[in-house]
Amino acid sequence: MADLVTHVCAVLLPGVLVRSRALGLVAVGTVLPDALGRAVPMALEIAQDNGVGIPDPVIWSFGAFHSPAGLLLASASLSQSFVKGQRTEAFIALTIGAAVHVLIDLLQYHHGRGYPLLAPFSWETYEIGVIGSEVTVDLALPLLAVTAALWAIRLGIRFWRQRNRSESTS
Amino acid sequence: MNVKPTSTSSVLQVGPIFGLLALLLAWSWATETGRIGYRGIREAPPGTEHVLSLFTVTRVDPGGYRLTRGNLNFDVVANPTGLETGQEVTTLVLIDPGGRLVEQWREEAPQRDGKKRLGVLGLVLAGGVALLTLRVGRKGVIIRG
Repeated sequence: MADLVTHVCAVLLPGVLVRSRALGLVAVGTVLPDALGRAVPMALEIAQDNGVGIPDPVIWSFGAFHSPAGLLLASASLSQSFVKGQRTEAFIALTIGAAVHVLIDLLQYHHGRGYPLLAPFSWETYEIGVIGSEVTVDLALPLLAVTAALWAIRLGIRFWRQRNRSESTS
Repeated sequence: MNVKPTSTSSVLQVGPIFGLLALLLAWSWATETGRIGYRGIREAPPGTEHVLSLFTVTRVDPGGYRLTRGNLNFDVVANPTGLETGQEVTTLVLIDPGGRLVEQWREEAPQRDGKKRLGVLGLVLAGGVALLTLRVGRKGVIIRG
């Protein structure tokens, strides 16, 4: 499974400058590809190793959730669980988050074993491959600390402004 | 008040689920037939090269080692000096005329455990963000920002 801290921070860090209620959902969208396409099959493999009769093809099929087509369909399905007026917003937010994840993964170099971006129409794999697959491991926690600090400042300023406003009106 | 779903909203609700089921089946078929993944290496002709990316070493012998990912195992002919079971490696193999996988080069991935831990931490972080920014109402999930 990938370093999801970097993926989440890739949305939350620039998100400090963005005013959108859907930002959190975009961040959630960044973990969708690995949550559904990696963590679920890993859990099924563990269950299989412990004697649960799960056929291999069922486990393999979850790889589809790491493809653009699978993520679009998963985002569309999940967005239907939102209240009526917010479904389009939820779909767009989840899709943007998932797209950020796929883009970051594409940047990683896997010796030509990339991702089948056009599946199921083509099984050709693609990768941009400009960074090593483990290069983010040392950066993740400092990135998380910077992101948390900037959000603490943003939320602190908002709290301070609200307090000032309520004091001036009372 | 009960509102009957329109045919459009029904399609929007059910369509993606059927689409997903079709895609999962297609993915399973593509993996089974070797179009994606590593199963196709078993039927690959001699003289071809293949990358086994991020496999776990599950056995080390004097003349080689075994790589495992899920239920898939490959025995690789190589000098296994410095290799230990449990390590994750990426290996380029050449299929020789006897059908054996002969290592051309090998790259260790020493930070895979750290990456997995960051994966779990990222899931927890996303869960926290979801708890702070979403709410479950009677008519569905609500984005509260």
